[in-house]
Amino acid sequence: MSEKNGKNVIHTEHLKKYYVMGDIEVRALHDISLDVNYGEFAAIMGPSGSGKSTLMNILGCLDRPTDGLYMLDGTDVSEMDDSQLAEVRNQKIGFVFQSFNLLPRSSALNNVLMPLLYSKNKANAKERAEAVLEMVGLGSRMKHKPKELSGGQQQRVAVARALVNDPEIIMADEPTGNLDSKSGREIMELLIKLNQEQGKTIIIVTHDPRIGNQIPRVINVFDGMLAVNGENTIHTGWSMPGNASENKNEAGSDSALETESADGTSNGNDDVASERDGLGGAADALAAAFKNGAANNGKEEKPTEESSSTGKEAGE
Amino acid sequence: MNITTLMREAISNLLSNKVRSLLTMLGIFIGVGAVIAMMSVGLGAKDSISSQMSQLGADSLYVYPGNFSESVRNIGTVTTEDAAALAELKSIDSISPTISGQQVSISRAGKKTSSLNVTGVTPTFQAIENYTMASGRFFTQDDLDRNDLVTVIGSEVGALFFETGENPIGQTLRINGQPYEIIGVFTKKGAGGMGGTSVDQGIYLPLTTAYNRLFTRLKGTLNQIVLKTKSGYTSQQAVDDAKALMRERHNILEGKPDDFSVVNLQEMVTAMNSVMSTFVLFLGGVAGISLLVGGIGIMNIMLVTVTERTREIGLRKALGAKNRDIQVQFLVESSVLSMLGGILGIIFGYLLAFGIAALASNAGTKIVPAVNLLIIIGTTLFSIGIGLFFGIYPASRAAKLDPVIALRTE
Repeated sequence: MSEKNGKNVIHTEHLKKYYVMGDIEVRALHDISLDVNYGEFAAIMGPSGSGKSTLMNILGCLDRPTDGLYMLDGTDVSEMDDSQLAEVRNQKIGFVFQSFNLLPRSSALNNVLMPLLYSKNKANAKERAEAVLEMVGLGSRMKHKPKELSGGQQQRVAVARALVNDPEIIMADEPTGNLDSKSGREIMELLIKLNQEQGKTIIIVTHDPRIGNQIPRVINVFDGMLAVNGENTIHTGWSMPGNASENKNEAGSDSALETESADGTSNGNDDVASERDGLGGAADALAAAFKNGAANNGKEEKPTEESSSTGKEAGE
Repeated sequence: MNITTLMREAISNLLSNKVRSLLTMLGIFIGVGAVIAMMSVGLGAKDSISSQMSQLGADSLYVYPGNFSESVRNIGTVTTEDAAALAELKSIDSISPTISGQQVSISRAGKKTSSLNVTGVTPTFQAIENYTMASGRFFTQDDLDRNDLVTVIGSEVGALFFETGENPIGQTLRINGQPYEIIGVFTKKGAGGMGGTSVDQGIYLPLTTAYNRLFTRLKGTLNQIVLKTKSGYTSQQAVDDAKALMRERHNILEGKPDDFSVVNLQEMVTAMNSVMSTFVLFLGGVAGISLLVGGIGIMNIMLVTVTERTREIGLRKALGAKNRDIQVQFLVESSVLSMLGGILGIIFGYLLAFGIAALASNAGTKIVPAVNLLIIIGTTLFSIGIGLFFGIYPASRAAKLDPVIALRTE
């Protein structure tokens, strides 16, 4: 993968994160080597305790690996000190959290302005913050405090806050986890839009297989390691609930998210793996989903795994 | 982050928990209030004492019979001859010998009788004591030569015996039954001078008249001689000269204590000032301890605040705040807290000082609390400093928080 360093926004080699708890060494992450391309939309999935949060924290420069190399946007960040990491977080990464993490006493606008307080680039701060709030559809609610906004709106403020410094990557940790399904769908649509229209690299951590299934690339983490293609049934599994939702679609629901997922299935069936590379693949899949989702609705996928039999049945 | 943003955030954070912020401020508020009140009353008292003293003239020496610091077997007398000899000293410019008697019966025909102090003086008295005439004139050498029955009175004496609007000049007062014509009234001088009644309550006679008519048994003795140092000589030189002359005149053997005292007013002012300054500092220091307690209160609350806002700290770090940014944020918050406490405390302290001064004035001691800009600025800076100092530990605790753990905290 090293030849791709110039192209990859994230490049890690043998990332390890060990904790010492008492006498026991806990291997939270063990030998993670992965690349994420510019403009890719990826999900980190895995069961509780798998190390996906640890991976997210390291990729998000909130934490340092015990060992291994992490190149972010061409810079080695694995050996940086706290304040250098803070600067990297400020400039290159936008965070979206499960619980929004807005300051309750500050207006939406001031919340969005927060990253700019710590940024060297303070020019037109207010205009930039207003622009991103407009973009997430909250132009009319800039002066509202978080408690005066719905959960979905709060999370959109958080997305605007993540965007205000024009970062390379947006890291979303369970962004829909505290939202009802409608608001969750809106947030996902917003993230997809950012990926499609602005080419932002987006990495989300999620438990939700319905979301995982609709995302072109899934990075599965098990026991602190990347799941190997052949061993991991979840890789191919993401297509099947998509089929299920396809049926729901026919039954009347036609949200973009679900349509897209169904289409992602059809386009990327050969490509669905934890190491699916290439901007083209992911973007094409998503773009195609937007364009001709409906046309592909009837297309049947042959399930490759037993685990997806329910999906198959549903499809049939 | 610039300082205005920091201040605004700090104030909004403090306002979000008003009761707690106010209670925390209370420590600093009371501390600063006490310091300010003590300092301003203390300095005011000091000022009023030293201004009274300097009204007497800082270049004055006082010669008294007897010795204030050592016991002498025979208390010597200071005589008019001594005075005349002292006047000849090259370091002495002028002298004012006085004899006074207390509780002399004073009356005005058909009016009440009072017991007052009567002092016999020479024409130099007015200039040396720096008194001015409200009306009439002071004694001349002629008055002394002729043993005239004339008197100059203080303003309160005038008010005691004469109605408002009535001119005392030319009127007659009976002093020990003898009629004296009033030839002058001193301007009101205010609070009493050194260790005696105020000039306002005094009655003055020519020295010779006093000896011949009033203090006949004390003829030739003096209660006090005021010496004015000649310019070009230090008061210490004058003191030394006067002492040497007096010892010689009184035939005091070497090694024996003086039977007289020479008091240097300048020295007394300096000594008094240093005593007062020490006292004021001591009071301020005692009050300063409550500032320390207030500072500990701030530290306590800031630690609570840091714990409460762990998640916010994690968020700020995730958004790019460096350890320094977090530290500065909490330091600004604790300093703003103590600065507000300090400013309110300064206002409170001065209110308290003026209250005390008003009480003291009612009780007869006039104190003008000193409002000193330096003290105000100093106290403000000091309270900011307290906030900074006691904020360091909580702020560095906040700064050291691991963002991952902080974000996970509920």
